[in-house]
Amino acid sequence: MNIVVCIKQVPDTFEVKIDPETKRIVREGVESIINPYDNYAIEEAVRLKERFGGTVTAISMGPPQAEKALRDAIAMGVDDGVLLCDMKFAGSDTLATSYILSCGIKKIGNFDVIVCGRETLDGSTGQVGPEIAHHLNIPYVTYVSKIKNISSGVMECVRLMEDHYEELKVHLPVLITVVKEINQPRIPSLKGMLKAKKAQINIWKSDNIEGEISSYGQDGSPTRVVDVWTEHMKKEGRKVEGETDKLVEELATELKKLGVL
Amino acid sequence: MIVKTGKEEILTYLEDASNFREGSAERLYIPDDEGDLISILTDCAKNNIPVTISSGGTGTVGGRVPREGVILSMERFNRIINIDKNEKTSTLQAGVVIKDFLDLIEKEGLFYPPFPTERTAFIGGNVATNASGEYSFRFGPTRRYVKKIRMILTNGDTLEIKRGCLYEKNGVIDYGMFKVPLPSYRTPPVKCSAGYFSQEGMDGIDLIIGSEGTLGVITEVKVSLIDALPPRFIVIVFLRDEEGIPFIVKEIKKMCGDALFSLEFFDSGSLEFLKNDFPAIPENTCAIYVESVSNTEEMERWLDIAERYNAVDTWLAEDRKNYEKLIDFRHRLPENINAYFKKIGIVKVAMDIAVGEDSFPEMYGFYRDMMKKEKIHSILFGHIGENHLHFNLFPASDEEKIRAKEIYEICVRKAISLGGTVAAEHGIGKIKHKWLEIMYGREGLKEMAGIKKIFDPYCILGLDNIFPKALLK
Repeated sequence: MNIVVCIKQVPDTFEVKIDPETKRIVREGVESIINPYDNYAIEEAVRLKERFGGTVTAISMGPPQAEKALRDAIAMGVDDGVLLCDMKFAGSDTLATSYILSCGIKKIGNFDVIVCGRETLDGSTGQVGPEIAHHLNIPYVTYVSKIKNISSGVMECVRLMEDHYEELKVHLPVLITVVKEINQPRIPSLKGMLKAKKAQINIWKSDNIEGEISSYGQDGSPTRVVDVWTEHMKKEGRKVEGETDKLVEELATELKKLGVL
Repeated sequence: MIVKTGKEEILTYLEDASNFREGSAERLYIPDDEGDLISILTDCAKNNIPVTISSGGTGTVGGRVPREGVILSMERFNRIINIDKNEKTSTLQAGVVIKDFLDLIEKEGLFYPPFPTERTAFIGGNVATNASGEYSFRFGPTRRYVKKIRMILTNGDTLEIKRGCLYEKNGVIDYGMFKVPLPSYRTPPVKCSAGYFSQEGMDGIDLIIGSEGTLGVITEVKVSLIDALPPRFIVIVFLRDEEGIPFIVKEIKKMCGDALFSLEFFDSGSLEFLKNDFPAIPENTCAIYVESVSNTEEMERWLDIAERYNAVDTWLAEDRKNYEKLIDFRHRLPENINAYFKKIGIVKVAMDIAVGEDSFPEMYGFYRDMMKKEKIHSILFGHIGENHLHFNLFPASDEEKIRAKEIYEICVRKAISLGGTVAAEHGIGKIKHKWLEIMYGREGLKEMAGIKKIFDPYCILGLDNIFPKALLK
């Protein structure tokens, strides 16, 4: 079985900083990690390989430093890494991103299952997975929480909904996006880590894939960001000191004033 | 100064991390400065009121838990007086919380090598207990890093001792205001935190370090620091060969001793306590856990070790997220064990024995034989790099409880026969007098009581810590 896992490198922070000019995420000075949801995708891809045999290829679109994310994926058991990296890809919205990724996946070819995380930490759209499936003209299942079996070209899986689970059967090839209930991502092994350090990551530029250049990057992105801002939470604090009895009284008065009590 | 007398207000000061539940006190003092402290101590001395010093409360032997009298909490002595980047030292008050200290010196690119696991502990408590930490395999316990101590005695006098200024000579340590005889017992040359330190030619400051709040109230210390640590990785190697562990550990020390920061062991029973949190732990394995300087060469060395000893699996944490996960792996075990002891409702039967390098294989074999022979559920884990394992027993019936105590004593006697210690890092406090007596004899305990009387002639400070107060009569 040939499995492709799509991953993204994101800044390791909950407090995403936005460049006020370009409205894009500021990546400088922030450590980069694999998008946390993608770790579940990697783990599930590796588990599928362990259950049903085959190979796992991780693919990502991003700047040259995103190679690190692919190495981390290899440390977890992925066989190969492909980085789609070209200035022509810069400024892609979800539509262009999914298009470029689908071109990369076509080049990898001969895939049975594509695994994605449910969404990214920085963008949180959850659109890229389904859009890749659209470009590839294959079925997709979002929010998968369990893969029960794959046999005779059919995957049986469970899908996590708001207040219930759905059980589905779907023909391969298929794209799934996974939720964190699906597994517990493994810690890399020594062997995996050393393999990752020495691995050759395939860097594919726009010339290496077959796609419409006009569908890449900003040209291929109908999304227009009007404004993005970081919500500032206001925190206040006051320290009160003294005898316990008086303090209790003071605190109670203060809390009543604030409408808490 | 704050004074509290309400029962509920004092309650939290009547316990520490041990299961010692005999705490009782009539009053809690929280002094602001040495002036307050002197007046409390001299007043208590005059009125013969026992005083127990209270630090962060992370101890495991009831050291800060008073049976009677008053509590003296050092929490307001929380000022970091200075950090000298050139000299790589820091002077700080006794009540500084370790975490605050570590955070501050980290910004200066410095590190405090004792690196105690309990970050809410106070620096004064660390010195008073000669605390060990996460990297004691590499750096040793607190003792080595204490350059100066300032303490207030129960008569109100101030004693300041600098390392390297006064040594034992002809069986006497001369502190100026009084002379102290060197005890006839000797602290064994192993990881040890059992009673007053005693060695020929010893530095006078070393008697104070590890004296568990029985000699005076430490108000200020000066400690030495080192440069921030290089990047490190953690690797856990899961192995089948539990019998061969001492040999494997010896080889590991030979091959990569200089690169290691910690070297720990978890037997298969210990790993069972972690499977809820880490379901991927392979069945029927034990584990070696190390933290090492991070580079490809060391990683390759570890792959070589893993292959040579037929490792079932290896986990490697190099990035921050996985590193934190594996740090949690190490810390989680004692937490889960304590929770289990609480759940089954028994007082902990947990040993803290260490022996010398050459005797370790014999001690390990002794534990293993005991585990096979006895029916009581038991586990073995800990600081194998320092020849220091915690043998824990979980007796399920009254009969087993009695047997567990007997096993404890058998292990203690075995360790002592091998030149080891009954308390490698947890200290003696109020719950291990019996074991210390087996180690140093009644005479040894009496000698300690004699030393205490010189520092604290009123016999009010830290009563029942290290030895029973009855010996002070």
